[in-house]
Amino acid sequence: MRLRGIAIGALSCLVAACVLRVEAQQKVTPELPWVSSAWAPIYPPIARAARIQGLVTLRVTTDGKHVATFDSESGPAFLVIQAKENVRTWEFSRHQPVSFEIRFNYKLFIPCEPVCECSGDRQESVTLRLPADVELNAPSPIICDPSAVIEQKK
Amino acid sequence: MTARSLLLAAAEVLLGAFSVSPVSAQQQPLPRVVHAWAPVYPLFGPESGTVALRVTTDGNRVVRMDEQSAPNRLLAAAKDNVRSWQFEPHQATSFGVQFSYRMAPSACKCKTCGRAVTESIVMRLPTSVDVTGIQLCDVAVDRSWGERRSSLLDLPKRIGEGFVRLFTGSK
Repeated sequence: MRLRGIAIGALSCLVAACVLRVEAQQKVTPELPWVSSAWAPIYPPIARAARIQGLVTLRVTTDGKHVATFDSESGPAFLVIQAKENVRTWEFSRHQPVSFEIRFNYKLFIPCEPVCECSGDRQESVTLRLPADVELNAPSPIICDPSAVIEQKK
Repeated sequence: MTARSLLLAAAEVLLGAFSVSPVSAQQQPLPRVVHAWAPVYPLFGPESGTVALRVTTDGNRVVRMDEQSAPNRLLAAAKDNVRSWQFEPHQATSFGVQFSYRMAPSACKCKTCGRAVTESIVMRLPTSVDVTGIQLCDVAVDRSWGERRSSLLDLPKRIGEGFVRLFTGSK
C-alpha cells in the first residue's frame, strides 16, 4: 500500500516535470533584433480616401542587418505593399539572422465634425513597437450625412 | 452710468479679443508630414526629459528650430529627427513640437523582470512625439539569474530522477 502511494507520488512528479518543461520551452522566444533606424510609416492618403484599413502580417527573415526576405504576408493588398516598403527601410543592429513576424495595424477613425457622430476626439498617430508591432491611426473621410443626423436628432 | 457702460464696452472688447485668438489659430491647419525618420532613443543617453521646439517651415521642410531648455543629447536627437521631416506643400508656418523621452527602469529589459515592457515610439505629427527607451541590463546579474532559473526549471526533473533511482536502487 505504501509502495503504491510512493509510486503515485513519483508519477505525479514526473508529469509535473514534463508539463513545466513544455511550458518553459514554449515561453522561450527568440531575441528580436533592435531597429537602429527606420522611416516612420505613414497612412497612405489613397488608402484613407478609399477607406482601406486592416491588419497586415508579414513574416520576415533578416540577414543580420536588414530584412532579406518576406516569407509570408496577409492583409489588404494595398496596405501589404505599403508595409513592405516601410520594412525595407529598417536597419538593425548587428545580429544573428532571424525570422519573425511583424504586424502593421492600419485603423481609421471618424473625426469629430460639428454635426456628425464621431468616435471621440482622436488625433492621427503612429505607434511603433519595433520590430514586431506598428499601429497607424488616421481619420477617415467624413461618411455621415449631416442632414440625416439632424433629422435623426429631431 | 456712463462709466459703467464704458466699462461694459471695454469688457466686451477684451472678451472679443480673447475669443478671436483660438479661431485664428484654427484657420491655419498644421501641415501634414509625408516623410520622417522614426525617432529612436539616443544611444548612451539614459536620461529622460522633454524637448520643446518651435519650428518654422518654408512650405516643404523645417527651416528654423528655436529650442527651449532641454538636456543636450535629447535636444540633438529631437532636432535630428525634425530635420528629416518633409511636409505636404503648404503655406510657410510656425508651430510648437514636443518630444518626450522616457527611460523605463533597467530591470525591465532584463530577464529578471517579469513585466513585459517594450520600447515604443508614439508619433502624433507634427506636434508631439513620445519615445520610451529601455535601459540596458547588467549582463552579469542577468546571467547569474539565468543560471538560477535553469536550475529551478530542472528541479522537477531531478526529483523524478531521484525517485527512479530510489525504485531501481541505482546510485
